[in-house]
Amino acid sequence: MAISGDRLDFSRQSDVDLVRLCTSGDRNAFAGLVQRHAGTIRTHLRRMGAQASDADDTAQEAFMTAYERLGDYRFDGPFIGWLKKIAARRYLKKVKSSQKYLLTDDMTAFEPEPTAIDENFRSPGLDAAINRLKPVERLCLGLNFSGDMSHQEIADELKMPLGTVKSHIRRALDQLKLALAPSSNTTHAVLETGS
Amino acid sequence: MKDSDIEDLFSAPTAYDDAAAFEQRVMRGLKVKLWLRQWLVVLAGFIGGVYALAQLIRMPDFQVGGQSVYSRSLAAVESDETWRAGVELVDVVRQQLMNVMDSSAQYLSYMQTPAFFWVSFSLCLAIVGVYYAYSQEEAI
Repeated sequence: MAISGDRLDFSRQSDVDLVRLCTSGDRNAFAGLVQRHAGTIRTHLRRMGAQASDADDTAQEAFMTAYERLGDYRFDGPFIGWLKKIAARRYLKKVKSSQKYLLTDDMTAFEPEPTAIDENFRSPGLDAAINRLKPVERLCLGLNFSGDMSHQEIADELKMPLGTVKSHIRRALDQLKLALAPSSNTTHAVLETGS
Repeated sequence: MKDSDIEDLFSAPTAYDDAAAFEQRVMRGLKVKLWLRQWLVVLAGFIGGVYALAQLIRMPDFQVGGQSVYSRSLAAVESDETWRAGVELVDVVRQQLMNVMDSSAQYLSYMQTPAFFWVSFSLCLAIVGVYYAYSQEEAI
């Protein structure tokens, strides 16, 4: 491990090495894992539909839970996948407590400030398009594409029929393709002024 | 555009300006949580230890409200005035200490009653219940 500036540099160690160091009591190694994966987890939660502050709070809780449960990590898949599942489940707990979020068609309450998207994300086009999806479509798509969960796993988590999950994802993908297509300027204008 | 193109967009790395601040926030939160848990265990151990000790201590011939008067009579029989003044000062201090111990002993006798046992036992059960509920909430 090297020190760059005032932060420890763990770039030469793999996730597995860092997890092993953590379980042997080195808390600095966990800082390395946070350094490496925080951006991915924060984005994952935002893409599932969490507002910026809520996403950061949930990401923090997910990291803290992960630290306490490192012993449960079986090294049978990438560490980031395990982290994403923890974050997603924590976020879903919050979402499930307010079911109306999943059922609403009115997007105004969930639209983030445009400036925040442009400054924070490297793929503002994708995130701007995701912001136009219905909450439930966005959630299903985020769990599938960002959380690497299967359709069946999403159906189980959200307690929805498998067919409904599939159609939400299909519809979300169609809308994303439409919004991200090179000649979608006119479509954008329609989406922005329409419902 | 294909589904795989969207997937590639999803897997593109993201960077945040406040990444260092977020990392510090996570590690600070973790430190506080571990510190609180550690000290909760220490506190619980201390309270349990005091309770267990209180059950072992027995004060022979203890009377609630009893006052110490022995040294006052000793001071009264001394002839040297300076010596007597010193003895009286020590006696006053001792008497105050004895009174404090006496009132503590009253608490001690209360701690040995069945009522106190049930109150503390219920409190412990409530704490265990809350801790269990919290750990379920924290489950992955």
